[in-house]
Amino acid sequence: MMIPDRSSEKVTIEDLLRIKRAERPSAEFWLRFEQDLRAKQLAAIIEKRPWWHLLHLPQAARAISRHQVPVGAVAVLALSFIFAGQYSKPVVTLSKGLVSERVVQSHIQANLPSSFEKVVQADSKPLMLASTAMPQVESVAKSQPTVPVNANALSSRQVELTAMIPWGLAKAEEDVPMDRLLTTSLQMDPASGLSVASLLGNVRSDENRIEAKATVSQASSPRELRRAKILTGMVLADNAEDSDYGRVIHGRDIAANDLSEAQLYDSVRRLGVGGDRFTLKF
Amino acid sequence: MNAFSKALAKTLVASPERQQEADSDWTIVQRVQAGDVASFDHLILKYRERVYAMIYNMTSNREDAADLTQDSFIKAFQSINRFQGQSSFFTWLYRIAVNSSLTHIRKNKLRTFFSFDKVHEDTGISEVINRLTDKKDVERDVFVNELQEKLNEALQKLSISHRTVVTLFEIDGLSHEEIAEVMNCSVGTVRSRLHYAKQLLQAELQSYVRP
Repeated sequence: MMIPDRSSEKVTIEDLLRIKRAERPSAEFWLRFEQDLRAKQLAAIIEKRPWWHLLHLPQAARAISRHQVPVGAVAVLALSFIFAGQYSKPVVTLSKGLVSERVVQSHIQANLPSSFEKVVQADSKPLMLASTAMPQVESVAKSQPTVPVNANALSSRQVELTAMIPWGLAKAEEDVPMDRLLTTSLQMDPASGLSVASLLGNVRSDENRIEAKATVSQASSPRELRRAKILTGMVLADNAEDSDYGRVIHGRDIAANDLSEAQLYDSVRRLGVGGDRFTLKF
Repeated sequence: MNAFSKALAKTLVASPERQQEADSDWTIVQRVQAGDVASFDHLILKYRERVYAMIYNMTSNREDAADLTQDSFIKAFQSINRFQGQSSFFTWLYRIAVNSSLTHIRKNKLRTFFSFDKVHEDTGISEVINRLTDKKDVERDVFVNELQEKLNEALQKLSISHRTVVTLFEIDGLSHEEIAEVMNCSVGTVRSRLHYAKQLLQAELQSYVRP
């Protein structure tokens, strides 16, 4: 009998996988399988399912995933608004400061003699509250040469008060009109500087105040006025509890130092332009 | 035509027998949902071998396959009230089983322990084995075991997605559309994965394949 040569017959990968399909467990296996399954089924019926299974989280996640682009866009917009709101806060504070500056200016101008109005207008700068306040106060001090010592001290307190209100009483301005507040503050006992100081959150000693007052009241020339401004700014920087205000004033000091008058004059003197020549002296 | 039939007609391009089967499954599922828990046994008896075969060929381990098959039926039983008839019960059950298998394979990536079921030789299988070997009796059994081992190794070398496609199509006999629904991907993806997987298997089993 001849054995057929089957080595040349075709065998495909599908044929091989059919062998896998023929792998089947025995009947005993299915008996055991059924017993185990029954036990697990009973356990599943008795077992209380955890509460998070009742939430149908996979379904909820799937429902959200359908709208992930609009939800993401809304989230980005919301975050943008939140951050924009945070960054715009300093602008709001600045505008409050400008309003308070206007209130202070109107109060001072109402009490000023007309001869000092020009000086006030010439030196006023919209964003430099302390620098605008100081010449006005200076003019107030000058306009009352015959005032007694106590009254003079009062005016010096007024100097400080007018200079500091926009920073020190930013919150108080919201509720109390500035004119009334100023009047109330100045009607306090002039001897007890503490009442004004406590109102402004100022804990500095009286000696420092007198120093600042003397500097400002002695200023007679524009140069001295500018010096007085810088000095007062430094005093205020010492008093400022809030670090932001201190930083502002510190920045102003740096600017003032960088552009000191002596340096400015020196630079101008060294430069010369004549005809078609440009000279520089060393 | 109710919503279930519409969904089925849309998702499955299946034979009328499949649709009839799906309709009868839906009737049983509705009974279980109404409180007739014992009716679920009909579904277990009907699908346990197919589900087991699929998981067994995915994991190449009969003990794991048995556990995962039981777990799949338990999960299906626990979630039967959520089944709305959007797809056939068979597809839904397969999806549960495939996901359970994938989770298990990912968890036990480093543990490769094979155990085989006996090959039940019918006419078609005997003819394939005869083409591969002339050996008889014990030697033939040894050859078949060796072939099983090689097949398992080759399948385990495929990625999970490729292995799933090959198992569902070549071993469980699901259509491309059914596989796409079970695996939640397009029919084109299924075809592409199947083609690539067969190429890899051919390279692995080239000593047995005779083109």
